[in-house]
Amino acid sequence: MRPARDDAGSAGGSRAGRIVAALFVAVVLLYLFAPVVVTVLFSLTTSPRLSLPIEGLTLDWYREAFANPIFTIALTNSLLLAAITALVSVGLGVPFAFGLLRLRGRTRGTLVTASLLPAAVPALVLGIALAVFFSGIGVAQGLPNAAIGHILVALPFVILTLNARLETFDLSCLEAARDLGASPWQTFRDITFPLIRPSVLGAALLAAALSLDEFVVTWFNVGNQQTLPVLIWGLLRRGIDPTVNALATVVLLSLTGLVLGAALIARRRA
Amino acid sequence: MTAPIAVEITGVEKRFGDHAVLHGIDLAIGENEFVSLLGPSGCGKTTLLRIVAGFEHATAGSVRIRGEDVTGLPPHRRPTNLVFQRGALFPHMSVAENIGYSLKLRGWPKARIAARVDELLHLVKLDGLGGRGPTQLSGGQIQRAALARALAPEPSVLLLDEPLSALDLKLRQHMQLELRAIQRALGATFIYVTHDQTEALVMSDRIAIMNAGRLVQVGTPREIYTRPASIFASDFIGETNLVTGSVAGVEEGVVTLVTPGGLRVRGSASVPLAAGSTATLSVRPEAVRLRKGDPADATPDEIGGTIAEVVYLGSRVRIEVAAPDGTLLWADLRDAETTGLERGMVVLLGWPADAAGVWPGSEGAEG
Repeated sequence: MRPARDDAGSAGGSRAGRIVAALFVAVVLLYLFAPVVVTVLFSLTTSPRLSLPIEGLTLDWYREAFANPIFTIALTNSLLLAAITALVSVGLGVPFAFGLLRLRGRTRGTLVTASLLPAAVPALVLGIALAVFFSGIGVAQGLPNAAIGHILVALPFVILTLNARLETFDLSCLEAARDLGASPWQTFRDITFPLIRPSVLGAALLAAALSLDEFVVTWFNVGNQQTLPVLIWGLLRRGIDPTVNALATVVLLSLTGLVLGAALIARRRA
Repeated sequence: MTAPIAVEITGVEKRFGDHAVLHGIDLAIGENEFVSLLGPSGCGKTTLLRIVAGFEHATAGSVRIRGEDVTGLPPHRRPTNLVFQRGALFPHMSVAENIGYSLKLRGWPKARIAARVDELLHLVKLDGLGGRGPTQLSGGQIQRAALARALAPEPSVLLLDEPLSALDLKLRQHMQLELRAIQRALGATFIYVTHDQTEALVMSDRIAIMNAGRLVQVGTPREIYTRPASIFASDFIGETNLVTGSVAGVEEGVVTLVTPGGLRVRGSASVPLAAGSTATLSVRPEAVRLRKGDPADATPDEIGGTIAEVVYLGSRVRIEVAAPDGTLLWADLRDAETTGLERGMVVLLGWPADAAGVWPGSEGAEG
């Protein structure tokens, strides 16, 4: 270890140089985390304005937010959309990824790329395109439209994660099951499903997370319905209200939970 | 063959699009027989095995097992079980659950499954390891577990797809003998795919040599080693010297070949050969005799040459001799016979004409 430290010393230069480097790292991290910290902090302070020093701590803003019936509706809608997005994008993504597994070479590469390209389309374009499409075929804006948009946003990511994890899947296990007397259905029930369950769960959590904080596509297609991001945006138009911080913190915590869950499941599988 | 037939492969062909992988394979395998399908990679041996297992469908021809036509049956309806190259154990099940899986599917009661699993664990020497997961096993243990799993439902025929190829040499040699012992003890029919000729020689009752989608020769290890049916078979099984030349004359079955460089060699013709046609002679290094002496003293059966290399192989010594025309020939001698032999020394080589086979064609030709 000692020679490594010596190397670092000679490369890093003087003591002053190292202090500058540390400060730089601190500034970048501050920039990355300040908005999150400010939001969480001011959802818990007694002052209705963003002011320092902090006078006292309270959960009143959460109480107020939860007491608002619109909040309950928005939360329900958001959770509903997240659940539908997770179910449908996994339902479409799993067979798709399994199909890819049986293909070889260029066809497979082309199909993977083709299924991922929509993720590169800006949400704004996607949102407007869907809105124009639905109005063109005479479907009124509403939650189902938003759900279709969310699935569109989540599906490429679901296919990407499933494809990456299924690449290590040993197809000869499935042949072994058939060979030992299992019907195609028994093979799926006993072998395929238990083996892919963690990957599928991880992909579902990812889809739910993507849906939960989706704003742009939702905004263009949801009509006069509320979801959490849409509600927060509406509240912000009437000025910064500490309940907004409370709502944002709720969204933040749910997303963190989903992402951590997905990561933990992925690690346990590995 | 006097034993009843376990597997009868008749006229099996396999094409992927325009590409033919198997051409009209006919092979009958007896009950309790250990047959190896031996050939270089890409010769179609694994495809043939997978056709018997039901994972591939023959483009033409049929497969019968104990008289029943199984050609159209899916794998789970066939009385065959396959041991996969890398085991293919179910990673989410313990060793015991892996072995018992086929019995669970057949609806056996738990206690009976447990008893049978213990019996199989004992057979493959994995006693006490039933509770382990596949990731906690060594390479050899994985293949033992895979073998036990495939044997659990008492298949009419056990198919093995290069199950030892991932193991190191020592373990592989040990497992070969053990597999053979298990097959004898169970009195089961084994079809074993391998590209390793030693493996095939050690384990098999009969070897079926395949090349480019065809059966080249089927016979006992001794028949195949001592009387290979083609240049390919003689080169693929064991080690051999190949000399290609044109037929100078045939006399009472003894052919004389002349190489482009003017070297004359003699061997016995396996098929009629026309004078002037191209043919190849094959002679095993251990059949080649060697003595010190001047080329002027050579008998008509001997070739003069210079020792190019002396390689010590432990139990024997391989002498590489360069003939005047540049042809290199190997002679394998016992250590004691090589005293005084050194590189650069002039020697005389010879072999009995019936120890060398001659076939039409040149070394590169198939078949």
